[in-house]
Amino acid sequence: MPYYLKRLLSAIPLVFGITFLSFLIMHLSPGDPTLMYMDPSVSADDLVQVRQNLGLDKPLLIQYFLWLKQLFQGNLGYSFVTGKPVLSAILERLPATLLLSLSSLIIILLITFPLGILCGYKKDTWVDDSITIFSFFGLSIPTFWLGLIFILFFSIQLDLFPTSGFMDPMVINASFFDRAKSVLHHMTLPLLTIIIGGIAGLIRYNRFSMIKILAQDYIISARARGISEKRILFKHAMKNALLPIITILGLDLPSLISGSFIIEYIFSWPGMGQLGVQAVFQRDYPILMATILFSSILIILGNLLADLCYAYADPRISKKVKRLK
Amino acid sequence: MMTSKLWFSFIYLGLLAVLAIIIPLFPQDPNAINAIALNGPTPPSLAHWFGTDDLGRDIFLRSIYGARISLMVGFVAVGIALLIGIVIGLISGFLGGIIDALIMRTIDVLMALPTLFLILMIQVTLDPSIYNVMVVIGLTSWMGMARLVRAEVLSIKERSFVTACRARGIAEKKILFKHILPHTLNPIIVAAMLGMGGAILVESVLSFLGLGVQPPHASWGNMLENSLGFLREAPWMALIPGILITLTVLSLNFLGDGLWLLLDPKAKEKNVIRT
Amino acid sequence: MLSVHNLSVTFQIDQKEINAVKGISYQVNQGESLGIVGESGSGKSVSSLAIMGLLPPTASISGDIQFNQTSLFHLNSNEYRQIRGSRIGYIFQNPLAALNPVFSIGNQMVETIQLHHNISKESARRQAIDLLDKVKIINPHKRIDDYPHQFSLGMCQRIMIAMTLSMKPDLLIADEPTASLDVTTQKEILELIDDLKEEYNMAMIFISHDLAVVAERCDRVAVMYLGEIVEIGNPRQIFTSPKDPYTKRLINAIPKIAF
Repeated sequence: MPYYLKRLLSAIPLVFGITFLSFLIMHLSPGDPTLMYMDPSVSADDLVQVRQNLGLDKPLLIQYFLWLKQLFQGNLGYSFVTGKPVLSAILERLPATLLLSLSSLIIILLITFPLGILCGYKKDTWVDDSITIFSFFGLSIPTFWLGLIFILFFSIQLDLFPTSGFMDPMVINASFFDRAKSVLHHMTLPLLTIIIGGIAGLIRYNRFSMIKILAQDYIISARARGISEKRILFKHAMKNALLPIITILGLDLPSLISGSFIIEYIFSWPGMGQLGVQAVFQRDYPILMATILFSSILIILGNLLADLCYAYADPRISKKVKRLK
Repeated sequence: MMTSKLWFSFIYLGLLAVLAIIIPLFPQDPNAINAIALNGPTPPSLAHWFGTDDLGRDIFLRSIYGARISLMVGFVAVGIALLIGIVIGLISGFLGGIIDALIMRTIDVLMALPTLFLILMIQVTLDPSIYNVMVVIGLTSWMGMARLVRAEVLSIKERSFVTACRARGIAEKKILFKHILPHTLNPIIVAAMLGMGGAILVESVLSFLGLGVQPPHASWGNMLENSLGFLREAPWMALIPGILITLTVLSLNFLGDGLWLLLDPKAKEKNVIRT
Repeated sequence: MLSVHNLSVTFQIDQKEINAVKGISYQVNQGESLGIVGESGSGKSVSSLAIMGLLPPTASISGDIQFNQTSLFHLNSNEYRQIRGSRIGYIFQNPLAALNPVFSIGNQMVETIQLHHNISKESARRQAIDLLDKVKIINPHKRIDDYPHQFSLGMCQRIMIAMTLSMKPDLLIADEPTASLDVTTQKEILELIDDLKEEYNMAMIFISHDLAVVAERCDRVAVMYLGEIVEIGNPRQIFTSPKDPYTKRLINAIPKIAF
């Protein structure tokens, strides 16, 4: 069986596991679970009928599959607070979340890869030491507090960036370029916060993997063949260092997403995270549940993508790669 | 470089721990509202080293009480995570087969969840209390530990000294606890240090969102929540707890990193000499 | 051609000094082969990596190494690089580890060939295929696009040899080239090295822990023990009248098969 198919199949039990866990937590949460599936405007008489339809008198496992059926039909229930369907509330928030997390992911990758490699190559010099200390700080700072400090400094003191929001309401009818500029202006601080929180671990990781790679026989053997340091670093070591990064990025995804959710809340960024944190305050279980479910699925997809990229890039897994020119 | 980082961590954490332990011996009440100062927060001064908050309470005193909470959460949560992680990791690694596969898949599922939100969900369902926080953090952070122990057990199991034990007819249980467990200790200690830092961060988020330590009791997280309304006029209210969290977690990370180099001499040598 | 004079190598690890090589001297002449024998840790690999200038920065080196009357230690990194590969070739103990796992062997060979000869990618590739054929890789025009993990250890060593030969070095350093191979493959690789040494008229330093293997193919043998050369001479002389007690032990350790 080809690797990607095997990997794809192995994600299926993961999806079942996560949905079952979500279902269990929801089942244990206070209140009648039927309430979650229903439009609050439904009358009390209909409620009994709905309960029967949902099979709440049946065993737990059956209930789970009934719930799963609803889920796949796109019925995630209704918000306790607004009464709106949960799915549309989430989908409404998804673009802002994806915009913030994908751009932070890309920038993090662009920063950490060269810095980590530099550290590994210049091991135990002042360059390495200062980047290492910086990355330790990045690992230790609570990101939500960093967000507060940025607001305090860049918004309140210097008045450079807005404290919150997605776009200036004044430009809602302006040209695409003006709107994009406003979004970018609003996005700068949250983005900066997520990046500082996210790059630290990856720099450390890149550094270690680079140190390990540079001590390998194939690097010494490349040197013995007279290949230049630049070529060794940017060709021979680089491609080997890139491989583990793909995996580690996939593994880092949960913490990156959890972290960016709190940041969304701090900066009132209208994404899934803000929705989720608000749901915490309002005890809006259906929304909260859906946020967890959606972000888990994002994480699984991310991991899957990472593994597939890895398999594509590593000839030891995919023997039939096309020739590198 | 390494030694100065370790010294910094030892001194800072030692000082914080001592203060946190002895602080109840002093009569000052951290929650006492200062009626005279009720007109607002005052900046750091000789009388109040870290200043006072909106209710005129001494921030230094509250910070130390906050340290008590944070250190306790760190210890207890990591203790729980360690206990579960070690037991499950040992079982998984030592037994192998279908049990191992099942455990590992379960861990995969748990790791794919955004833990913070899982904790939020549980905390919303339960009463917000500091004890719940410790238990919930512990219950949701053992997975990495279990993976680590399992990996160690797997690699040790293959080494010849374990085979030699078997050949001498030593009982499996004894091999596991007397010969394999001690070998897994070093990475566990390092992971515990890093885990404590993580637990302290999570506690601060929870308390910040009002799901952890409840006012009037002080924790670094709820002190930060309290500071939100006063960012403009009293920035020290937001700065001080955050700096304390950062320094504490930083020290724990330094310790973990330093211990890793100390306990695993190979970690260093691997990179230095090859002939 | 190569003269090593009073070479010492010291490693600095955790404030401790480890003297891996303690003032060794030897010469290798044009077309001559020198064998270096000793147990692992005796400093034989370290001293030859020192010739290549490939020791980690934790190593401090003293003494002098002259190659064609120029001292290698006075070269800048660019000049050293010219010597590495094009003048001195190195074959590693573990051939699989010495090939970069994420590039096809063709990619690595073409890179090396183009580095030392100013020719197009196509003709470099043709040359690589010829070389693979020469080291008896079957189906070279197909296998050139395979990755190191798709070859057996013995084949990897053939590829390493082909790659080293593509640079036509004057001196070949073979660092236990057969230590990680099984007995039959060992024999094939040794024969291959012997043939090619003859054909290319190279000088050779052959490092091994096996005195018999070294004595069979080297003009002179140096015995290393704890970082020092305890004895150096022609193989017959060393076999028949060893002077050093360690050499005697080495000779006694060779299994004698009585039929």
